[in-house]
Amino acid sequence: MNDTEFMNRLHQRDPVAVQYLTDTFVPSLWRYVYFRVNGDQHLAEDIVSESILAMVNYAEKNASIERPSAWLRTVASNKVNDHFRAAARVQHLIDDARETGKYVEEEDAVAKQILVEQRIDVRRAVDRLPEEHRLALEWKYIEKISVNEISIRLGVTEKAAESILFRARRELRSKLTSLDEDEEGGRPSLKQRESTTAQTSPASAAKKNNYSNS
Amino acid sequence: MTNDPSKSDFGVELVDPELEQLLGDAYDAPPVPRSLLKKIDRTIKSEWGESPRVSESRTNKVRSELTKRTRWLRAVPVAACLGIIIAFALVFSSGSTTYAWSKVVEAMAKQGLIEVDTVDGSRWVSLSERVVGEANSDSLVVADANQKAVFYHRYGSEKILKQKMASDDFNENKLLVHFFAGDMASDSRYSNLKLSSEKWEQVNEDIALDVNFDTDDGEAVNLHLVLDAETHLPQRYRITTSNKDLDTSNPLSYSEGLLADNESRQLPGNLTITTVDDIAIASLSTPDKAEQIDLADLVNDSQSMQGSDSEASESIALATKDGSSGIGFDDWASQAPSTWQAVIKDNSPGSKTVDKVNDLITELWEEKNITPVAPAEDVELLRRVYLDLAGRTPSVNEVRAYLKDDSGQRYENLVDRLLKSPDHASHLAAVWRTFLIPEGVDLDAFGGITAFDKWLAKRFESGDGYDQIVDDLLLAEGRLSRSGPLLFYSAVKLNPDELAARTARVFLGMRLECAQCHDHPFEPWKQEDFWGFAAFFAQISRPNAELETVSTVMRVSDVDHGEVKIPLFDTVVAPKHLNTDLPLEQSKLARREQLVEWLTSADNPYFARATANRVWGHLFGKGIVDPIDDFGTRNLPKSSELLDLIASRFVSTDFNLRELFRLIVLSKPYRLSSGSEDVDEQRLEWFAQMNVKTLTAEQVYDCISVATLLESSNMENPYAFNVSRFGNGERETFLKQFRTPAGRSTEYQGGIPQALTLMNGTLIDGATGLARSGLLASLDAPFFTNKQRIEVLYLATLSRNPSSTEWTMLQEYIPQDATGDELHQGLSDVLWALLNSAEFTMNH
Repeated sequence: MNDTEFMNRLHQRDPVAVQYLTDTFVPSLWRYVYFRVNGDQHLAEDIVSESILAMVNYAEKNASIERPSAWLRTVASNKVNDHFRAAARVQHLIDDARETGKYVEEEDAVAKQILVEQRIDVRRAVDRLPEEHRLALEWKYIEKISVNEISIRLGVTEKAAESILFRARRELRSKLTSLDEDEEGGRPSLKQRESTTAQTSPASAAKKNNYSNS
Repeated sequence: MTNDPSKSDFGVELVDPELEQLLGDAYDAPPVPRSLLKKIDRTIKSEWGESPRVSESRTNKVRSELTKRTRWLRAVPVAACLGIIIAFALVFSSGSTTYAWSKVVEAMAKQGLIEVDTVDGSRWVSLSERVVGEANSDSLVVADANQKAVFYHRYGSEKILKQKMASDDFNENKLLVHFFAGDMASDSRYSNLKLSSEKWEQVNEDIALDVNFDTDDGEAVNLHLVLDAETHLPQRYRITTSNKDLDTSNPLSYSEGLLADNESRQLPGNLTITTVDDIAIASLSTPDKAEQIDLADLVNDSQSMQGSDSEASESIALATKDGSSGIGFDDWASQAPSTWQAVIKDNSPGSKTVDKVNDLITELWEEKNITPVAPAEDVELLRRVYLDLAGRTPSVNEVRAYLKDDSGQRYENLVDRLLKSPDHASHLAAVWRTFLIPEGVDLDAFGGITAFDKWLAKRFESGDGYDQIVDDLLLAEGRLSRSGPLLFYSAVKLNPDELAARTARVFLGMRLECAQCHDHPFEPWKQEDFWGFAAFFAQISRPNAELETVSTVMRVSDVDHGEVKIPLFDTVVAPKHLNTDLPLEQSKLARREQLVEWLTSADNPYFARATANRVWGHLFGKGIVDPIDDFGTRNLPKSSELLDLIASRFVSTDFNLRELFRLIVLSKPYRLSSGSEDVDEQRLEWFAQMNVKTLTAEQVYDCISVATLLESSNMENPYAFNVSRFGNGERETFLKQFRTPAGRSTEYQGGIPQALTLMNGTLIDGATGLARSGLLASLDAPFFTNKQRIEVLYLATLSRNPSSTEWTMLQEYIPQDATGDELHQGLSDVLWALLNSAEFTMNH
């Protein structure tokens, strides 16, 4: 099923479309939201299901979504942001963050911090890949989907799917390397960047006393 | 769908265990939970009318999983029993203290008078006497539950207005809600107050108790109390009604005395009491003296706006008249800072602005009837400008070259040269670092101050606008241990409140932290303003361990979540700029980016003025607003027009710091002498005489280094000389010994350690000893007379020749015919005396 057919079926309220959605897009969306909300499963479930509802409603009115996975991600991202902005709901997250952000033993601290930083780096690099490349990598190396299945999902030949995976891996490595280089030089000043597109940063968890990243 | 990649992979190169591991670790999330699939089913069913049943496709798999785990299920009852036992144990072992509104009321009833300060007065309650009251600057209201009446007295009036209470329910709850919320005159408000819910929790050492009341008229009241854990007495409170937020965080005070013993809280006894139907209406229509009181209020307000300093009010008068600056001028200083407008750009040439500054300051002196001292002599000005711009005294070659230069523009040329020198950049870096980094913090774990100084020096040397430098500093990211500017963040452990306080002081010239724990006592900044500013620093990545421990690997970057909340009150505050009440617009920019976009904009009313004042303060030892980081309605500038003139030039040159320094050091007041025949504080106060400033530890070292030729100067080009400030171990050791607490540069901060370091320290020992001192070694040259040798010592240390009195003494000490050891010892002693003189350690 390609994206157009999926949207048409969703528009027609075909349960197969929902099955396809949960098989194809939900695992990736789940992981994305899960890390954005610092592992709060209940919250992640709420946001993912709300995002899917938004897509179902959107499909009812207008079936044309060019990249459903990207569309879902944007909606989910906005919902995460809305969530953190809503002061009434932030409070319990701050409390949660107190729990999740417990200080670790000093001897483990550096090693754990390195791990945290490395994983953030990888997710940040993956987030910056083109949608098709990101999905292909997640399907292949996280969900262990076969290339044949990936090619069907992407609506391309197996050879083309292999090629996409090859380029995605190359690009990911290149982005991981450039992240290492970036940290030496810092970022360009705001005024220098005015003409360029602002890049969004990925999330990382932290907290301290009465202020917290949650 | 197959899950075996090996079955369908055509290319072997796609098998990548390393990448698989990398991604597996980075995305180590639990699988999509079945509860989510069920939720999706339910959600879609509510839309479509039937469920797509996506969760059922996994049911069998889950069942088989559960079957495998039946042995775990058998353990559940045991675990549940254990859990209950532990829970009971916890409840009974953790103490039985609970906190409730009834206990709070009981504790408060045992007290006498309970008081809290309000914006312009105070409120009090005495539960035992069943009286609650409020006094402000013009009236007194008392609600007496025993007499079932509310009394109102306007000061100066001959009457007391009395209104019978509309309801009989003036119980303790109502007394206390009126006490916390105010609004005594409306006794019908909060009628039939009913406690609807309450909840307490421990916050650090305090107890937070949330109490909700409902009223008959549907008004909900939420009272948030911070209790003392032992006495149950409220220490602070916040009250919110469904109509409005009546919050206050003022502390409550308790006394054992009763209201009856406190005359200031009682109604005057000798006045007529007039019963009225509605005090609120009657008090407005009372003909007695209302107008006079209003007029008096206006006068009082006006006085309080101008502060108690009569000189300050005069400066406003001067500033508001049509001055000669030529720029449109609106006196902002006496208005609330949140209403200040941005400075208007002054696009006239720099020399014109210098003239305008001179004209304006001359008018100011005439207005104040102050006669300025004479202009500084060449050598005095030369030494001053070197110390202020390059952080060191001129070398002998530089003094001689300057004095030999007979061009009319030699001072201007010198200033330009100094402003472009590396010494200026590195000196400025050290000066700015003292503003930006708190004292007494061990910074070694974060790369130390040298990396920070180097970064700042490089940025100042680049000639980039100050706005860009501040942008780069505030937006710094990367590894803590590798990035110089990140010391600004790591020095305060990335704490948003400390970052906000420091940023506001240095870049906005305001002590916003005074509004951290309560509303600002003197300025119209609320607690929300401070925390709204701090919220800009809330979304920075933070470690899950002590910062020092992970500083080698910790990377600072913007994240998209994180909030600040007002301590004890749990109120999450959204980021907000200081000069607006509007929330931030939706933006893709990170919070720090949104902050700097506003902070360093030409439209920001504080940034340019604060910087202009800071540079003025650095050069004069005293700001136009003084202290330099305390702008506000209670601390007015000496001349707001003068400050705006300089700030507008700064803005119009795109925040060019060199131009700002140039403007000030070329101005007339900077070129005045620091000496005078008589003492006149007014002259110093109004920049009609230069303040004498003490040298910083860095300046003392650099001056000794230059004077004694610890570093060799370039004989061919005297102006090519620069001191080595980075990677100089001896300098760092000296700075550790000699550093004094930060304070005013016009006040001597040194003590015994500093005096001993100068007298006996290894640096001085080497600098005045023949073995090391390049200066003394160079004086061995046979073509020098002893008089010339002494002259060189003076030029090297004090940048001047000896006075006639000094000559007389020195010629006795080192006769013209002295040679050999006698000469060497004499010169060494003179050099030691000069380095230990007050004149050497001062900037005149």
